[in-house]
Amino acid sequence: MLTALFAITTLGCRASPPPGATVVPLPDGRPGIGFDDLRFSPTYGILAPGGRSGKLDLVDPATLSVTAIDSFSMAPLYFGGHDQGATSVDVGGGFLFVTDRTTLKLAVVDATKKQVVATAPVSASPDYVRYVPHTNEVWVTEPDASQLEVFSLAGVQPMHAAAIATPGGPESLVIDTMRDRAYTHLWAGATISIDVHTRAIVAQWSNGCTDSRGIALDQARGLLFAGCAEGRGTVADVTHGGMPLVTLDVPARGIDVIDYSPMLGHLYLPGASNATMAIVGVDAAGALSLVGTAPTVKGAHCVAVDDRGRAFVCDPANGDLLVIRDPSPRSGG
Amino acid sequence: MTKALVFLLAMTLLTPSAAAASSRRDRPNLRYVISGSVVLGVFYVVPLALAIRYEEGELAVPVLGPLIDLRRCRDCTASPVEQGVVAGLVLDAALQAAGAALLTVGLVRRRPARVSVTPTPTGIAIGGRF
Repeated sequence: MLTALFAITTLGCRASPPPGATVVPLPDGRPGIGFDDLRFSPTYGILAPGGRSGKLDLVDPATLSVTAIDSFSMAPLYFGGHDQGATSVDVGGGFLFVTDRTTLKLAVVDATKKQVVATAPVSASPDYVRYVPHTNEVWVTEPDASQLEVFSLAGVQPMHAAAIATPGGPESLVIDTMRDRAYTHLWAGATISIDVHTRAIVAQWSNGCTDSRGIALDQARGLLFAGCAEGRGTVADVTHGGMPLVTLDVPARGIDVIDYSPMLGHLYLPGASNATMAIVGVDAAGALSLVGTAPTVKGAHCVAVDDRGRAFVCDPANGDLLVIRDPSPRSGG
Repeated sequence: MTKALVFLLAMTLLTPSAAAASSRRDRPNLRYVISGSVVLGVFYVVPLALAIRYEEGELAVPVLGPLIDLRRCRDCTASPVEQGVVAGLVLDAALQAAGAALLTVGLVRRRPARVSVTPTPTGIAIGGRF
């Protein structure tokens, strides 16, 4: 009994924020938020699905003020992981699309009224949601079912349209609107490319990871980045069928969600295990080089970068976002 | 001196009713008190530990804490895991309440403690229920 109590009260205790980081507390962030997906939108700022808190939090990058859309499932206790409430979000057509892992629903939020205007059940536990503008569809990854579920939008109402089988995946999702492709990883070191019109898998390549996790895209240059859980970043050239360009081992362990800043040409790979975020420069040829590291906190496994050279890193144990300024100059290209 | 002792002994033997007078004292019902304390303690210490771990002050409130924590519950029954959490909190509050009730009953409904002191040929005997 005493051992159990000791474990409860000591394991995973809150970490202090790293020096130099600004902390953005999210509403009802305590006792913790199982963050997963973070996004940046020039219109709405940082979008942080608040998991257990029942909120989708919109952080204004200028003022760091938080506006909460309080419409999702909410749970009293937080036990780590990211299986509670809203965990993924995307923007499109004036709406926010949010998946809720507790209710297993896709919600459409009117971004102006900040209200849920429609919901639809998903077939399996949702992971990532992305809007596909050229087809006016919403794609949802469902790793437990090894599929991507496609919803067409009839007005604001999402309607199940198709399921795309992705054996061995899918993990992460990014939409390439220039090439009308969706890219997602398979867990064991591969990436697939899907035609968003035909919904067919049109290419597959090895991404250089042992354990594929995060994905990010430099759309203009056709560079697709993969974050590997073991501590590696890789690049593939999607203009040449996913030709691998380079891999770089980085001092971050337990990489999950990654992000890329086109403005700085930097790739951000937070390591949840060793509380370190690697900042990697991407030169004109797509080569990677470590330009810096930033201390975070244990469990910080997700990041979104704004258009001001700042990385917003999740701090699940505290239910906060850490704002880390990237001091490194722009890389390449 | 010997005469005085004999006199005192004689007085004692001659007034047995006074010496054997029973006295009543109320004592807590230890059976209820102990069982109530154990039940309350066991089912309070778990939310207390969670309160410390997660800095959730409301969980540290005895008996009502787990129910207060349920204010942060919306669509909780949509997931089996959350259903379990809700059930656990409600059950914990109920068991804490049961423990508190037992403890209160043990303290309030005191048990009469009857004590008698009776002279015997070799001295006195004290008896009763304690």
